[in-house]
Amino acid sequence: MRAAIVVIGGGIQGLSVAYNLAALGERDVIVLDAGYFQGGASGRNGTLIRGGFMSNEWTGLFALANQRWIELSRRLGRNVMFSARGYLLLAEKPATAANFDAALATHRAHSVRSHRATQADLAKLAPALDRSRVLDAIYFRDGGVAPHHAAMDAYHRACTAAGVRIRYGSPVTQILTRGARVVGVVGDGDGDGDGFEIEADAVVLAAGAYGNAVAKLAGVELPGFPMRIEAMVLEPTRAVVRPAIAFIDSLCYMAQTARGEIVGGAEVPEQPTESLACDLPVMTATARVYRDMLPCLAKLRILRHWAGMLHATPDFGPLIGAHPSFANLWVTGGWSYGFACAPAAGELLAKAILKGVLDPRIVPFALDRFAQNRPVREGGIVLAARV
Amino acid sequence: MYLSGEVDLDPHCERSLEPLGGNRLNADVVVVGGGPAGRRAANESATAGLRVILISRSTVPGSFATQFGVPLRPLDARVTLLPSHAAAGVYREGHVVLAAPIAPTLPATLIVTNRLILATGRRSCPPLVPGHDLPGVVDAHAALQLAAQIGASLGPTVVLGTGGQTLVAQILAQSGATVIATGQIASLTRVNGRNRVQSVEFDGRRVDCRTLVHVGPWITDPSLGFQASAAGVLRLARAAATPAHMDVVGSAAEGDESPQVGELQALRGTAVCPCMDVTVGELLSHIEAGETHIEVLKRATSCGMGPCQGFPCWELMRAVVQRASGGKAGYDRPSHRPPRRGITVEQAAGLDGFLEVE
Ligand SMILES: Cc1cc2nc3c(=O)[nH]c(=O)nc-3n(C[C@H](O)[C@H](O)[C@H](O)COP(=O)(O)OP(=O)(O)OC[C@H]3O[C@@H](n4cnc5c(N)ncnc54)[C@H](O)[C@@H]3O)c2cc1C
Repeated sequence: MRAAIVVIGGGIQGLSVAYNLAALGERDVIVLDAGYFQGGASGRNGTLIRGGFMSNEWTGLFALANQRWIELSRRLGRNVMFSARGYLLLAEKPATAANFDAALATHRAHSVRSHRATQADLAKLAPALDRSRVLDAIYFRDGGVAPHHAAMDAYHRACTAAGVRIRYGSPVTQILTRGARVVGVVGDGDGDGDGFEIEADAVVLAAGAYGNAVAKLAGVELPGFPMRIEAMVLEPTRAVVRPAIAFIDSLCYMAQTARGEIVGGAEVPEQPTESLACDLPVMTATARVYRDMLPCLAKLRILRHWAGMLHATPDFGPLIGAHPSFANLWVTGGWSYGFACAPAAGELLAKAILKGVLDPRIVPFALDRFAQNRPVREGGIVLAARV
Repeated sequence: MYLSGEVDLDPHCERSLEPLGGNRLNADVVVVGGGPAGRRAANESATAGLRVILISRSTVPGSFATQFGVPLRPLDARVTLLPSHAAAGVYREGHVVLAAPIAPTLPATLIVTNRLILATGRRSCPPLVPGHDLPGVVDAHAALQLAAQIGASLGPTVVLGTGGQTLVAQILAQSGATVIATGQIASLTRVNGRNRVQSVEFDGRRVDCRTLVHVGPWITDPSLGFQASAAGVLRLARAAATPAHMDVVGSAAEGDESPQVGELQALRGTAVCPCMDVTVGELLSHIEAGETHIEVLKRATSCGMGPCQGFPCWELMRAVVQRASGGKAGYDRPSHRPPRRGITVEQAAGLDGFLEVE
């Protein structure tokens, strides 16, 4: 078999690249995924979306992504159920609040609609919040949530309609190389016996937490390691918190879904683990932040709690671009906010692959930035790891 | 059916000044379930000089067996009993057990243990026939409890099962219930009624009644065993063997009887998961389009994502998938996730810091 482009990984990143390749005219694309549809982080995340961060680099990329989410249902021809319910970024510590002025200026420079939320604003936006603990707040009016099942379904159908072939249960086990180029992939039929070998002009590595393991199939490495992240959901209640909220200092995020459940999670600095089994400390830490910051949630019951796997890089920033060792091995990985950013990352990477144009918004996230000692410093994310 | 509005909240409420707190216990053995098998296991471990904690949902452990007239041996005085608690989840291969009090106002308990013994018994699976989700259809456990409290108010009652129906009918009658017929659950074809049960059709006849009690098919709740033994990174799936430090005893170890499922095409409008409004027809529409992966079907339909968190709904879903795919689809379940509505945010917060992070 052959295809112009093979995409390894059918999470939201892989599907977004595939969709954008097809939209730019390259329909000879095969997406191969080792697991099942929505089985990776793309079917296990908090679904929060915002356009602004603290750094210029993150804000540049996510500003585009947020803009794309607003029009995504129309582009894909199917409702992604994006709900621009707003997004609050909260500081509880002076050191965090001290960065908010600069952050607001960065947002303005990228046309992200954000403003400082005063105590009076907070009383209106999120009456459930214990405001006495909030030192400062930034509000993104275009931020919000999109249920991952709706977004994934829309991408999947749009890809299929454009002629992209998508196969789950099809792990890639070898990447074939010749000199400084990759020339194809070999894989398993995952038990049903249909192994495959596909020649390709280019390969896109979009394997989420397994990015490093897949890169090794081509004999190369990616910076970073697999990391477990957990989230939980509370029983449905009437609408009590409209915007999505990130508590930067409590390392916690949450949002209420359209059907009334509260979804979110706290980060507990744990050793990097490769496991989808959830652990108790994340649930108790999330519950403590809810009880302290959103007291009305205290009496709600916890429906379930689960884990997903990410690929954490040394600066927690994504890896986007060609691999330094192979000009036609493209990577979109290292994502910790890869759900929100998928529409932008897929679009810009597809342009790079087909037109050879590297958009300035992806350049800072080049794979060799650590080797070049140019990590991207971002202080507005909710992540913690003991490394 | 079960969506926002289920729980009403006042967003303006204040933080409680007295945090609830929590408990942490250490044990050599945790036994879940206070029936005959659980008591036997707990007593044996206590006799062997081990620190044993027994978790039981009832105030008096073994209430179901008692209702059945099964004599219960007394619990060894050295066994620490946590009555009116449910094991809401197990973590770290079963070495950490979350014991949640039934009362949301009491603190929860976290137990670190060497061994885990599941004596959680079996439960009767609702029959997948039209009308099975009408109020008035109850399982044997609930019926016996209800009868002990309200007896005659159950109204004319039909008891159907896989063998235990005669015994259950007798006990119900002793509690004052009016049992008008008994029979095999496999002969049940439909339950009729508008807002509650008005009649049932079984054995080729139709009987007017107000309550239908199902006594089997008996199935085990797979959730705790799954959580203790599941592994994997592409998908959590039950590991081939249960860990050496875990045992399943009593009727929970006896395996499952097959769920009672009628002719699928006639069931299109029947709910598999009443809380999330998932019908057999919805599942079939995905299966007919070629999708039989149980995790994908769960995400596509939200089956089992309401208050029961998959037990018993997923047992019915997998039976439908199995039948509709002609046996080709694997007979597996979606991942069972703790704590299954067993604990409140306040109770969970009370346990924060009690367990070292790994
Ligand atoms: C609990 C949690 C909460 C989160 N909250 C948010 C949030 O609120 N907002 C946000 O933007 N992001 C959030 N994220 C992060 C976000 O989910 C991820 O960054 C994003 O889904 C990554 O998409 P992906 O396509 O790169 O990875 P995935 O969705 O993980 O897809 C990778 C795919 O690669 C496949 N694969 C692996 N190995 C192979 C192989 N050898 N051959 C073929 N296929 C292979 C896997 O089967 C998998 O399907 C959260 C993540 C978690 C776990």
